[in-house]
Amino acid sequence: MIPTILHIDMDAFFASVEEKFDPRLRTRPLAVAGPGVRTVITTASYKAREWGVGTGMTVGEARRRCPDLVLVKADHRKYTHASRQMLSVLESFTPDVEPYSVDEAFMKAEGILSHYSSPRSLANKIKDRIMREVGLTCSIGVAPNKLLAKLASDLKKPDGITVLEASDIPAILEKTPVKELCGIGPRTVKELSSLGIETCGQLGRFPRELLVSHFGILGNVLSSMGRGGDSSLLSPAFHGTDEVKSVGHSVTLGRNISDRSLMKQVLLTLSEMVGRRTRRYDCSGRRITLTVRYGDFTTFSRQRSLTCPVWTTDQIYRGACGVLAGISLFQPVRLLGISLGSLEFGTRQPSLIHEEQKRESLQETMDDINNRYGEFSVGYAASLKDLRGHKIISPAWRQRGIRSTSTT
Amino acid sequence: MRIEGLSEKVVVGAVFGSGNQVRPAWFIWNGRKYTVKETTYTWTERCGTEMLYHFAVSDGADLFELVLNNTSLVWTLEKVEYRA
Repeated sequence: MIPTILHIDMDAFFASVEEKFDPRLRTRPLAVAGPGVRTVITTASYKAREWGVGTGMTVGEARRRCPDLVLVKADHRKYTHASRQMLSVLESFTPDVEPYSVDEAFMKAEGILSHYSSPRSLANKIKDRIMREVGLTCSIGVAPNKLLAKLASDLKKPDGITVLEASDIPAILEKTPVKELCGIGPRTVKELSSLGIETCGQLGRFPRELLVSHFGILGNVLSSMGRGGDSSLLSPAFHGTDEVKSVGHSVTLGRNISDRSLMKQVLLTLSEMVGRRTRRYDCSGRRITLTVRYGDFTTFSRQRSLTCPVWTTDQIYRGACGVLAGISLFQPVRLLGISLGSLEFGTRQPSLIHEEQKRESLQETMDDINNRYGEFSVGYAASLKDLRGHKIISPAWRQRGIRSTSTT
Repeated sequence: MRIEGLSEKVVVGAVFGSGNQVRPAWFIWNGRKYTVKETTYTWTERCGTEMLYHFAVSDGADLFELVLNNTSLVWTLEKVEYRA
């Protein structure tokens, strides 16, 4: 097994961009927090991490741990720009690049390795280019597959390169906790722990039949992962043609609400956001899913299948309101989300009903105005201006295509 | 101290280099001329059909965010961060 897959991971990405924006911050512990009212730390600089500040921590807790912490409100426009620059650098080496998140990507180097003296030399070249063109450091893991490449990039951070040769893998995995493997979440870690499995070495040696009897078909995958196996293929980004299964948006509200008329206003705003993306990529959807999160973080979804595919804001809103009407709410609501699924691309059929035609025409005119003057230049009066726009970079965000939402 | 959302039109002297490189050299704000010592970060933002070019610049003391609208060719000062 020759190490040909690279995992490129930007170091403390949001914090590093902010340090580049304002170099005076480099000497101080820095954390970036979401722009919302009820927000958490999204990234901490390495200086702040020394004080125990980490991702997901509340701002209050972060300040308690590090009283001198400099807190910066996230400006996602800067980060998405840097992310696109990073992807552009990587794709200048090979088109076989799979964006994994806003600050991570996989690269298949099989076809270009012959131009370099070694995988490490290629990784060095990539790091130099990213530093020169994006101005940021990254860590790179090189391994025979994606699972191990991702694991490797975490071994030397920040600004490191780790090349895992086949002969290194058993020793590395022997003591690596299973939670370090990408794809093994807290619940699986807990269940593995109940079987006496804490490390990848133990997972790899555990009888496969017992894993299958406990986890079902997933047991085979876990057993293979324990030995460093991963058969997943790299999915290059190309130009936004990767098909998506749904288009959705959610919002955590500034305060918990019980008033259904206020919830409908939130739904109208979310419908605008979902509808806009749906129409921009010439698709429509037959299934509307409404997600509700209570104040105590209990989260559930309800969905409704529609007789015909929808794409206008008005249709999506009416569908979401219909789902909401069928839900009995037992607590004030913290988060609402709408997702349009069962997508069909390029098959939109104009309505034959006059009233619907008028609505579609109005929608087209609104889209034309927003295309020309910017998102939400014109919108529904009843929607909530404060909630318009994408305040966070979702894990599904990608540099191009339907998943590339413009952030505010 | 930080002042955001200024959106004040400012006069900017910029060097348009080879390719598509633009470098603000100085700007006048509130009747005072500031010389740009360093451009720390640049990024772009699409607003409808217009493209906005953001420049974070320093005069050696404070940090400023200048924005060039590529359609109107108007420069605005969006943000000032004074050294604490």
